[in-house]
Amino acid sequence: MRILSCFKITHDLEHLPLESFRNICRNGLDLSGKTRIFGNYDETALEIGLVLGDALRRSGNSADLTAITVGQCEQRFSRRLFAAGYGRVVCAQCPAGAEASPKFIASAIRDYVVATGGFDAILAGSQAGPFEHGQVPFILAASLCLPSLTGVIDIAICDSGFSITGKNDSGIYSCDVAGPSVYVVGDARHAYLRMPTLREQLAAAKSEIEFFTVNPPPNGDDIAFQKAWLEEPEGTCTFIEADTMEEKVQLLWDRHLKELMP
Amino acid sequence: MKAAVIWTGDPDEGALRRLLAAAGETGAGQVEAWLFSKAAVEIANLPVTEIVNIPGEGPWLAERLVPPLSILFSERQPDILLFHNGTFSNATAVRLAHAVGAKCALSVEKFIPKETGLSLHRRILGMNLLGEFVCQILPLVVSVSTGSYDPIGGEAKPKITTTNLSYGGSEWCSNYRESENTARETLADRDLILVGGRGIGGEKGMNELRELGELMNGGVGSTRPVALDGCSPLENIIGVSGLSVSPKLCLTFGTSGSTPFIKGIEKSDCIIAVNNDPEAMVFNYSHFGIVGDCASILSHLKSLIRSSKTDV
Repeated sequence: MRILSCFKITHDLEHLPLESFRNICRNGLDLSGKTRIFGNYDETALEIGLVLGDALRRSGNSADLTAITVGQCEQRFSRRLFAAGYGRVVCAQCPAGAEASPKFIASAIRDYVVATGGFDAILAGSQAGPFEHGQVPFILAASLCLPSLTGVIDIAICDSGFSITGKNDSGIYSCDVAGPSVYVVGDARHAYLRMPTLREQLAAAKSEIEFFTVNPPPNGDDIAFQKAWLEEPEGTCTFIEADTMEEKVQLLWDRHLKELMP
Repeated sequence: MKAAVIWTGDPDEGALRRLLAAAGETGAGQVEAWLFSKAAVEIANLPVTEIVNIPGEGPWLAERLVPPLSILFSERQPDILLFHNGTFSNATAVRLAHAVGAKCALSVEKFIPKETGLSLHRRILGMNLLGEFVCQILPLVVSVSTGSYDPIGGEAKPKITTTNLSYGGSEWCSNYRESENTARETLADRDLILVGGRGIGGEKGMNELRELGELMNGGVGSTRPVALDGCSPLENIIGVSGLSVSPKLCLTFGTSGSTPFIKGIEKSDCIIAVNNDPEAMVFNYSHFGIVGDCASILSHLKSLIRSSKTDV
């Protein structure tokens, strides 16, 4: 079976202080210097691709794993993917900024899928920065005339194809899927990309990323980005102060918690 | 300008009225409600010009709704279509926009009609910033973060129509089952919610927090990283990718205060944060704070409650 995992390299914004966000706004969304990482949900999609590959091989099937990104992909990311178990890592290169358009990204991936004969499962994260459009997997599915399932948290092999567990607005759903489909990965059980061993890293050291070039359409974004700003917090926190931790807890209890006790 | 608000599943009048508030903000002079649910419904007083019922059975899959939506779109020609923000409705919105050649934006929090086009405000950069986007060409399909709107008031006598449009097939999908998210009910009704973040100390810390929750009859949730580490159920994630809660008191332990998490607790009457870093961002969004070690505070708190119960 052929599995394609779509990913994006984004910036690690999780632990930035407010001042960094103020600077990002002042400098026109300049993210240079910020650590680049796999997009959170994309990393999960990549790991689910590997888990699926493991399950296929265990059940006696072949598993051909490809990872694809649109934009820039440094070698350290591709090496990590090769070492983790991806047989092919593909990067559709485009002019800087073009990768912010979901239609453009989806069309680049669609072209690759069509040119390489299709995949049995296409995995993608549900959200990726910087603009958090959240549209790429659905446009991709629609343009390939494939069904899509969203909020996917686990995939297993079953007789008819894949057994899917997902989280939607009302709860947890499960179903069996036959035929190619696009799976949009959310908060999943296999959240982080596995860490390759030193042996695996050495074995993957000479694997080369495959590049191809794509050009964005000349008319640009449908919905143009204008500006960004930070919602400043009110900052009215009153600290509960006391000499000892026991006294602080006593104050917390007396002032705020006691009245809520059943 | 004409708008259509689209609802899938059991109708929720409050949420529909929030969507209608957003539709009004776009400047639409005429608004219809298109309701996809098991049976035709009549929300007699909804302030819209027409309620269009498209009854049908689940499973609720995006591609099943796109065919009837596309037909309604071509018949009625709305300029803007509004879904509520959610995993399923977002998928449907994007696929509909692709099918009918409309523009699309998800999780919109505000609309401002401008001379240059319709301005949309959405969260960007990991939900940390607000961004303004301008859509110059209609039609537009959007999903709306309905939590950003108060339900619109007013009553009307809408025309009520029931169509016999068929939903699309789902031959590719079998054995579809859904189970209710019990965490939503468990956490939604609580006066007190306790939330553990990465600073709580992994599984041991979360177990301590659950014990405290039992002692205080409080709901217990976690941030996304704690759930992804396997220390708390995925269903109990609080934040943008999980539940939004609004208890009387939300007590957080070891949460850093990232915006996606804060969006899940910001409607609490009172937020008290515990963190050993006095510079932690969570204090910027909290009413009260304690700087200290989570394990120590949890331990003292449990002792205090146990002794107070013994005293009684």
